[in-house]
Amino acid sequence: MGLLAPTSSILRFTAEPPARIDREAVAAAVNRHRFRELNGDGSQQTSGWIGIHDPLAAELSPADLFFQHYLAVGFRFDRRAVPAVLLRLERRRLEEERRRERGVPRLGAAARREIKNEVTDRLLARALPVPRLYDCLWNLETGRVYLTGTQRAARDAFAELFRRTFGVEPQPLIPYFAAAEAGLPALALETLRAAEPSSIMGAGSVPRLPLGEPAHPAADEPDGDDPGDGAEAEEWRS
Amino acid sequence: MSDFVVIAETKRFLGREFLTWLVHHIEEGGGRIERPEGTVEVHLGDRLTLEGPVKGERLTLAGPGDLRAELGAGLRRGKLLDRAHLVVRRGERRWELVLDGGMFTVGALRCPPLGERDGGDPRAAFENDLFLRLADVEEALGVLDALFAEFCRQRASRAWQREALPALRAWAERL
Repeated sequence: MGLLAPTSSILRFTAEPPARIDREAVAAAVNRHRFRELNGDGSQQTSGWIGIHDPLAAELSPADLFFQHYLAVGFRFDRRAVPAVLLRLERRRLEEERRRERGVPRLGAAARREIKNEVTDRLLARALPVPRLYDCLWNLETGRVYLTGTQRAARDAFAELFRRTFGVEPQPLIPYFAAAEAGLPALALETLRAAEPSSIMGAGSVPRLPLGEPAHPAADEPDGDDPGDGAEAEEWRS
Repeated sequence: MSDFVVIAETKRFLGREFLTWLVHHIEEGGGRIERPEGTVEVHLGDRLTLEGPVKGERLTLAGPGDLRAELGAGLRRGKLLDRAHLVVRRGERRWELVLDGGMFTVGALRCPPLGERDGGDPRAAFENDLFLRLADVEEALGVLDALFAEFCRQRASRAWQREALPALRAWAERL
C-alpha cells in the first residue's frame, strides 16, 4: 500500500507546518505515538507510527524521518474483523439453539440483537488483527500531506494520530477545500463554495412519470438550474 | 456529525461536476494541456462510475469497448461522473489512475516505472526511489489540480451558466 507498490492510492491533506522545526522534538513525539500491538484490553483497533524504511524499527531518529523538505513516516493501522459469512452462520446457529431452548417458533428482535452482539464479541476476541501499512509524507514547505490509503477508518485514525503527534489538524483535501488553492479571487471562491448543484441536463430533460407532469406546459418556467449561481463573481474575470 | 463530514457530503457535487466537466473536456477538447514539464495528454480509461442525486443510484461502466452511449444515457438521467479511470501521458511517460471526484482522492495509481537500482546502499536506494516516485505522483496530481483550477474558474463565473452547461448538455445529448 506504500508509495513504492506497483499501484497505490493517494489521499491528500493540508496541515500547516510549524514555523520552526525542532527535529529532535518531532522525533520524540513520533516515538511517543509509535505503533503498539493490540494488548487484549478489548480494543478492536490500534494505530501508530512506524519507520517508512523499516516497519519493525523500534526507535525512529530524525535521520529516519526527515528527507529533504519532507517528513516521511509510516503509519500502521491494525483492526480486528470478523468475516461476514462466519458471523452470519454463527448467528443462525445460536438463534436456532435459543429458539429450541425457549420452545418458541421465532425469536423477538431484542433477542436476535442480543445474539448478534454476543456472537460478534466472541468472534472478535478470537480474530487476529489485520495490519495495514501506509506511507505518510508531509511537505514541510507547502503543508501538503500525502497518505497512501483512502479507507475511511484508517483515514480517521490517521488524522487523529497526526493531530495528537504534531499538534495540527490535517484537513482532507476534498474539492470544497481544494478550491481555495485554485487561485481564485476571494469573491469567486466564496461564490463557488456557496454554489448549489447544477442540473447538467436541466429539469426538462429528465424523464418523469405521468403523475409528476405539470398540469400546464412549462415552457416559460426556469430550467431548474441554480439561477444566478456564479453571477456575482463575473467582475473578477474582466 | 462533524463539520467536515457535513461539508464533504453536502459539497460532494462539486467534485462530481468537476469530473463530468473533465470527461467532457477530454472528449471534446482532445485532452491536451500545457504544463511546465511539457504537453500532457489526458485520456479516458475503461472504467466509469456515475452517481445519481439520490445516494445509491449508481451506474458502473467498464469494458474495452466504447462506453459513450451508456455514459450519455446515464448523464441524460441526471447522473454525474463519480469516478473515472484516467490515463495521463507526457511523451513516453504514462500514468494510470482512478479519480474519485466526490472526495478528490486517487486510487489504483500506476506511475511510470522506476529505473534499475545500482546495487549500492539499500537505504539510500530506497530513499532515492521514494523521492523519484513522489515526484511522479506530484506530476500526475499537478495535472489534475491544474484542470480542477480551470473548472473552478468556470464554475464561479457566469460562463458556467452561459457556456459550460449548454455545452455539457449538448454533448450528453449527442453521446
